[in-house]
Amino acid sequence: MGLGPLRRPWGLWSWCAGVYVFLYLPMAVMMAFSFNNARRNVVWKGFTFEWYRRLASNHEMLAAFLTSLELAVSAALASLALGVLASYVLVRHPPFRGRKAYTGFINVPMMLPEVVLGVGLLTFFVRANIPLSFPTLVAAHVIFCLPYTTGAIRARLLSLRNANIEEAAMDLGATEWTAFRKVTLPLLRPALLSGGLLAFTMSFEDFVTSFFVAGIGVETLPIRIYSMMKFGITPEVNALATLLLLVTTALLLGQHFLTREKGQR
Amino acid sequence: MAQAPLLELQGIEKSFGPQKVLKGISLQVYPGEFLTFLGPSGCGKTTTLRIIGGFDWPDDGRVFLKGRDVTSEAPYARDVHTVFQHYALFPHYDVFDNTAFGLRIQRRPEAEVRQRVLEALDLVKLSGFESRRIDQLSGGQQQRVALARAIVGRPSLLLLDEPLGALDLKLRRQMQLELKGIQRRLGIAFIYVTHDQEEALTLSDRIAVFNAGEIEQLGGPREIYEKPQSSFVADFIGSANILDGEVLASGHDGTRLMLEGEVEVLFPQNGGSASVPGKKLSVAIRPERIHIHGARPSSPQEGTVCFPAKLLENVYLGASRQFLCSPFPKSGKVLTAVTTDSGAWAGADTASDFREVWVEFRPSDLRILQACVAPSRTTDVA
Repeated sequence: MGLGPLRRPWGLWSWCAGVYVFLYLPMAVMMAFSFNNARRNVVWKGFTFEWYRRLASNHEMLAAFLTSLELAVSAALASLALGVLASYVLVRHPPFRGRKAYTGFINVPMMLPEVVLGVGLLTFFVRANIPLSFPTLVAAHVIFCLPYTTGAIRARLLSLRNANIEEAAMDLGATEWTAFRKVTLPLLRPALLSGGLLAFTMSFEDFVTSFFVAGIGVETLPIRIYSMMKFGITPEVNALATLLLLVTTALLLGQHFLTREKGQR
Repeated sequence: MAQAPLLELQGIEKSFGPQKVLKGISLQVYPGEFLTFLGPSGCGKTTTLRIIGGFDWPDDGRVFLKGRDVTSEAPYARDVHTVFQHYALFPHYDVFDNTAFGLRIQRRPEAEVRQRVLEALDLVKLSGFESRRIDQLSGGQQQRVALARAIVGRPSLLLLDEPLGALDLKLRRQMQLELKGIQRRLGIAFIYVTHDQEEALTLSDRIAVFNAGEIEQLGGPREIYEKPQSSFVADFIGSANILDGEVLASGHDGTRLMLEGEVEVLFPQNGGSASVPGKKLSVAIRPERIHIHGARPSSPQEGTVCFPAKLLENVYLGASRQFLCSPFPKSGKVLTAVTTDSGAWAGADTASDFREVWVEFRPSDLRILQACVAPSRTTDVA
């Protein structure tokens, strides 16, 4: 390795190993028990796909999963669109009064305790006579997703700012919209991808805010799991968590390879 | 030039906040000419270029392109392309797609696009690089892509904003010649922004010297160099000794001038309105027009003046030699003289500082600077 006579730092290695065990052992146990042929998560009784089979035939769970998926996709897309617009104002627009305050306010939901956001939104919707439903849920999720998408897109736009690339496109005959579509948007892609994935994850796993503003009849996956817990935890939840973990890992790897392949920063 | 101008600027003014960066720029550019905007940074030359390209709008004044008022038109509506200072290539496209961008926006048939892109890349000597990614190219190659992208659509006017600024000296010299060759071959008018006076002299048909938001002088390279009209131009183009002068008398044989209050010369031209006796003015003389002798010349050449000076510095520069000397004990003004090394007097190599030398020049090599009327030297750079 060219490290010369440096001795291997065994102390550091074992410390790292300890941290990883602490982080990932619970998940490993959970994954293992999703294949356990027993009703309780205590002793290993043998291997089975039973819980996956039951999960597949659990219509309420499936419906909740689809609701969460739809919600997360809508929230991610909406917060991306708003994030692009907000970033344009913050980066491209000539400096205006209150720009700093505006930047700060976009980030507030990131630091706000979710309970506060939830209660505030609930009060607002009730007072404004807006029935709690799927749209209010999307609106609530966009609020706490916006800081993440705006942050990613704004950083990317800042790095492109001095490059005159849009001006070059317009110089060669492209209108503002064509320049945006053919030049800026492709260059924003890594930021859209990472910001969008982050928003998707935040929305998909959100419990607190959703719990306040979901209303009756709309049940997201985290809310469904929470209500299942009231009747005792079954390995079905383990099976679900294992599947989600696989999907998340696949998404992360996908993003990694998509952004790397193009060789863009 | 009886031709109709390709581009005409009329009284362009522009302020950024409280700072007025353009104070009434007017000029005409003719088809096929190579015009350079030369000036120090912050003099307004890039802003003028951006106004021509349509990226900035003037506060006052008009821009005419082929006789049409385009002052408030968007960049994409103008038959003008730009080579940006930092190239502004599209990093997500390869060399071919970068070059083809403008043609594809115009929805030209793909066969035509292909043929014209390959021609343009051939012209800038990038054949075979079509499928390279931008980040796989050197700075010089990126420069060529930017040029190919801008000329492939055959604009009638090309704007170049310090296009060679990021290249090293050797590559820059080479690219200068290639640029000039390409410009001649295509017959496209170039407006070229630079702060490098040598580059301007090498390339240009005409040079507009910018200073503090105004054009100080507009003319051919020789005219700008030989007949600078202001102390700024004289100082900025090459180097010049700028001396205070006073008109003593004016007659049919020329104008009698007192330089720095110590040396009297006869300038062999009637200075016109500038030659009222008692009038103070600035005169310039190029370092290469001043000869330094180690001893009093036994037979001074006809039509020269010769006077003693104290040698301050004697610098060997390889092909040439530079002397700094002080012929004016009262004002202490320092004169710079440059000669080829072989043209210096024998023994100059070992001449020590503070010895006495003799300064000789032809008064006809003096230039009276019209812009300067102040009693003392003012190189009015803000």
